[in-house]
Amino acid sequence: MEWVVTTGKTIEDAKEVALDRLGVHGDDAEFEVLSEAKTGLFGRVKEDARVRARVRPSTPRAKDERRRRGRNGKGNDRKRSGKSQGGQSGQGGQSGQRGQSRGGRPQGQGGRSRGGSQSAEKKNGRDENTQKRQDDAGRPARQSNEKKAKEKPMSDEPMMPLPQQADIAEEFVSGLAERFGVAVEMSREDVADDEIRITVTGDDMGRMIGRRGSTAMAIDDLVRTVLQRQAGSSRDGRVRVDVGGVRTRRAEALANFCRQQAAGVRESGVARSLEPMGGADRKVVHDTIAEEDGVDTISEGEDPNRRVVIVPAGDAA
Amino acid sequence: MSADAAAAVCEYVVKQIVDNPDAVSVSTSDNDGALRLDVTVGDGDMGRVIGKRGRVAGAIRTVVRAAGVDDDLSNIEVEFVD
Repeated sequence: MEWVVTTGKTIEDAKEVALDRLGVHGDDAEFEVLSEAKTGLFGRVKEDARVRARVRPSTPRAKDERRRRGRNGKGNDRKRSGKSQGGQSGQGGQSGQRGQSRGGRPQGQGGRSRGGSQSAEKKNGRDENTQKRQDDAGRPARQSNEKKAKEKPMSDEPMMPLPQQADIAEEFVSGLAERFGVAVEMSREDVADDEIRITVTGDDMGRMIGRRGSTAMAIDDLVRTVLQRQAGSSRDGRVRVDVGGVRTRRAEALANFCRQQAAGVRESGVARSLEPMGGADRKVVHDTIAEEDGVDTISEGEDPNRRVVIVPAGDAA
Repeated sequence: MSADAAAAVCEYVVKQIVDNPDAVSVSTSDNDGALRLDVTVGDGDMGRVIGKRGRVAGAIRTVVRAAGVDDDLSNIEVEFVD
């Protein structure tokens, strides 16, 4: 789902424009304030407020779901709370007041009840679907949800156990190395309950690592794709392939960087947005920040431009 | 020799990703000094090979180029033929 960026004299104005552009109800949109309006001398607007918005994704991806559990969906709440609107009833309330200006747009349910269900949704993406469906099946945005559900049916096939996935991954990598003409060794390690890391080592591995680990990264990507096809979509946990150990080294460097950034956020109380990175790197950031006091993370944007923002803890609530 | 490696890697990877490996074929040609690999896949498998936002296709290209690096193959093009 694409973001639209709009501007307005105030954040509210910019949001209005965004809603018109997206053609959805306020409840179904997700906002992020890029910059607030800057007032020049004598209160004249010097620079418009910038907001970006998109249609709220109907099914959060599985890994977000895992991450957000217990964090009360702070990330999303933060995105929605503009300067002048506080807390839960934020979007709903606003669209109620302003309904007039966007006449004809279905209003759906009242802000309050939506607000309640939203916070519940964020805790568990799975609830979100069922809840929404019970909530009000007739709303326009819901149709796209249903369509998506049809495109990607949840398969009932049993999930393939992680070790078996790791077998597939190892087989793929050894086949690949063979065609590269490189002799490799692989070692397996349980890094977490739901993660196995396969480290691939060998003498002449430069080609399989590539500049700044690009090839190593691509191989890991391909492993995931292979697993998707051979182990089915409902896989439990993850298998990560670390070619030449570059991933581990990179992850350490990234974690260090994150701790620095976290310190900056803690001191200044101002959120910092990191540059867009892949899911694996984002996980490193989330995991690192999770162990830091006084800071929290949220993810925003869509791949390949999804990025992590380090926010002061409590700020997001 | 390494041109073969690139093609072999390409074919191997694509076959691992698609639903119908038998329908995969990779043909090589010389395109103005660059090695060109034309990949065809069976019906319905193109999406898998390209992936969301071309992510899988990008990974395939990266890996295939890496496989050809040894042999002065400065440029390898991988085209997915519809």
